[in-house]
Amino acid sequence: MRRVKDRLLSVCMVALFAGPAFADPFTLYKSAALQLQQVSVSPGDVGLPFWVTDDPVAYGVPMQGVVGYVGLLWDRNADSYAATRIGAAGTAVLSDIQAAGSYTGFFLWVANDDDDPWNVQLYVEAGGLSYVSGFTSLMAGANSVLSVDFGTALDFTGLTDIGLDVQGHFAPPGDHPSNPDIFHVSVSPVVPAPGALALTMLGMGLVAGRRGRR
Amino acid sequence: MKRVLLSILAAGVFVGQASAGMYVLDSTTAMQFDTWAVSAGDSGVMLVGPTTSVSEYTGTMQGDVGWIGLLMDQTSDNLAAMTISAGGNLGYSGSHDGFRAFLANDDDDPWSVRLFVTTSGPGGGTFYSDGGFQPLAGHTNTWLTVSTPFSFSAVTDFGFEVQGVFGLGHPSNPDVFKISAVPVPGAALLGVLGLLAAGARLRQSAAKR
Repeated sequence: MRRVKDRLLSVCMVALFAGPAFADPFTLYKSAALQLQQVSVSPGDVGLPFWVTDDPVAYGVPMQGVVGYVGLLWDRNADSYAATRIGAAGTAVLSDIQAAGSYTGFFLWVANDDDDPWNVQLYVEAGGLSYVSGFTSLMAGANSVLSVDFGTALDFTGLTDIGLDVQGHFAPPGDHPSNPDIFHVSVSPVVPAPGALALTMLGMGLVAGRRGRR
Repeated sequence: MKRVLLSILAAGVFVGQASAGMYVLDSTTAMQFDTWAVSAGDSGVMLVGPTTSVSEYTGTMQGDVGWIGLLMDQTSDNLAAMTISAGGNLGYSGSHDGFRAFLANDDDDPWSVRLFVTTSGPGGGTFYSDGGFQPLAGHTNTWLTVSTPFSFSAVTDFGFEVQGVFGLGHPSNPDVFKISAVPVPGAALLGVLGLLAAGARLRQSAAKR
């Protein structure tokens, strides 16, 4: 019985520590998220240059994530939508991300800190291909973990841009957001699952140790 | 009898808004309100306005002339305001019992508004509309009145202020306001014209019989 337990434990430990060595999803760490900038605005629309901050006071409203983006979006082509791309293209951090290795996807925790609903999606541009998570509508105060699945391990050396799109849907009835309007979106890196697993195992070990003593 | 009633109705439509002696903001004057300033320590920018173009305003405009601006509270008092006024465009004359204007909030968030008239000389100062800032919920409007008599010869500036009360969730900080002024002279006038047309038609058909 003890042997079986030892084996199971070994398998768990191997899965825990060897897992990250294989391709895992990539998440944007705080220092990288702080360097993202406005890459583009949907054609025909207007987006005023926004600011990126980890300072809750400068952010203006309570920040759920660790890095916040504030910007203005304005539908000017009468299609009721306007979007801005907040990415790493053209920033110094892009080369760091390119050197990060290979990953099977990209995931990020995204929060809408604004009083109006905004749509968000993650994107990755690599090797001439575009990967997106698809837009998720976040109501005021809501948050979600978004993810892009590459299907297979993607070598980040070919990466040309990575980040998130924020989109406003300006349409009556309700008229939220109004056109134009300001968005407040913040992000946090997703704590990798192996960490959670490690904590669980640590907890289980403590419980087992206590039982053993009894 | 009918004619008398019609005359009273028509007089009501055209004269109703302009009480005797009040200076009532019209589209021509509102289009002169192109000077703006932001409350001390706060940030703001005028994005559009004054404009009568609905396509430029990008949305429903309750008034005839609109302004779009951005306000951000940076003094942590949860308030930021923009003054929108005639500034140097002062070519007006005459004495008035007060200043009256229609202001509409075309935004989805609540914004507060008030009128002001600044005069120089003895007894001069800045006079605000009755009750000070009036909160306007999203897509609502109001008439405001500065009840202090003034002469344009002493006026150094007049216009209105838009204030965001942040910290209550709406508007968020910063946020964009959309305010329009001067009622569109549509509904009442069209109603009277419609009644006139219907009356004429009834009269014609009665005469044929």
